[in-house]
Amino acid sequence: MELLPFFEWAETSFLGYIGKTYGGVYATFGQSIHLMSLAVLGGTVLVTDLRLLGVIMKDVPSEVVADQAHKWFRIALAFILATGIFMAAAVAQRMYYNDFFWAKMSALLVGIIFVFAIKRPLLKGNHADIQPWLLKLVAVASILIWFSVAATGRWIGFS
Amino acid sequence: MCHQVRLGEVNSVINELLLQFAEWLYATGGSRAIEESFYLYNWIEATHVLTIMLCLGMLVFIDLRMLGLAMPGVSAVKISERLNIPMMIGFIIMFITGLLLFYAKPTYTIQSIWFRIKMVLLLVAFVNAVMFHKRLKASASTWEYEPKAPRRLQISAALSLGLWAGVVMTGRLIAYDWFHCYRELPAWLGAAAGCVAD
Amino acid sequence: MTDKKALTLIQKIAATSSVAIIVAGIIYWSFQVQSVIELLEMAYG
Repeated sequence: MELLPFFEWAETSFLGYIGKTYGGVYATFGQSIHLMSLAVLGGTVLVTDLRLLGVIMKDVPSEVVADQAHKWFRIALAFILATGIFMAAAVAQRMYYNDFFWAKMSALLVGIIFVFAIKRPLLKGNHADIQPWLLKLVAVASILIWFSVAATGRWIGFS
Repeated sequence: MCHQVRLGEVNSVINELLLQFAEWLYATGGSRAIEESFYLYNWIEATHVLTIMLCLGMLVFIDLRMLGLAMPGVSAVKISERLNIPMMIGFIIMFITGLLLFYAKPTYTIQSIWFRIKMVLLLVAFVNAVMFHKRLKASASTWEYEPKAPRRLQISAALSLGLWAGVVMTGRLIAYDWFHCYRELPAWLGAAAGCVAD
Repeated sequence: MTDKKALTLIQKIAATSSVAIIVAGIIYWSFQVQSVIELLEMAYG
């Protein structure tokens, strides 16, 4: 499958045009809201995973923490995807040739599948039924994958 | 009239002193070393940006709890106390890396209107946080298990979210030089950004 | 009642995918760090 035409089209699309032409809109609605959503998304991931690892809020049931954090995770993910698509459209052709962009997209895809197909179904029930080592393993994997998404994302701008 | 002139003079003296300080910092070896090192500078910057997840992530959770939007069944005091430590660890990392970023580009940053707005917002956020914790400590025992905090604390929590959103945005905008001194700026904006006449 | 010893299917999937993510993550990041070190060695000797 040839993806370059899609990236070329994205840059000429309305979204790409707005982001390319109006630097102020790109920086505020794109980058700034992307960062605010990162704070919320990363916060929900850390709250859940550090709880599963037994680092924070040991006296709050981990089921409650995981459920409540996931609610905000979904909201933050919606905002981060929307602003991410907006930003990528404006510089689409540069993204196509950027290694860190593809690293980030791969990690993001893995992260989303991991959360919705594996972590959520696993954590839905009573956590006492799950072996503690498994909860910790999932928490470490979750922190690592979302850290990778954020870090490779930051590095897109540097390279 | 006379009053206005004086204020203007005081402002330009302050701006001059700040710029002199920034120029002195710029000339130090450490400052040059960080800015000229691609990896050192970018790793400090990446750490500063990524720690947002720890620092503001925890802060958002505390504020959402006060507004009744997260973990309404858990004691508000417990949430605030438990998340305070990771939040402060994040804040310390952001503070240190932030200082280093300023140290690497002092002359550029000191004349950035966004940096200046960010510092004001941080100061207001700090005062708001101190008041918030005072009120929380004084009244929490009467309502901590209710889903929402009393009105004044809710306002404080909402204000905190708004202020920190502003800190994030102005922080991001420091990278843009739209209103830097070498641009055509209205006099008031030049004075606010710290431009100094040659 | 779930048997605490035996892993359910979702638990098995969770364990395998977590290990895969951790291994892939370690390989990716150590590769990145290594290439930066090589680059710096080339530049400064």
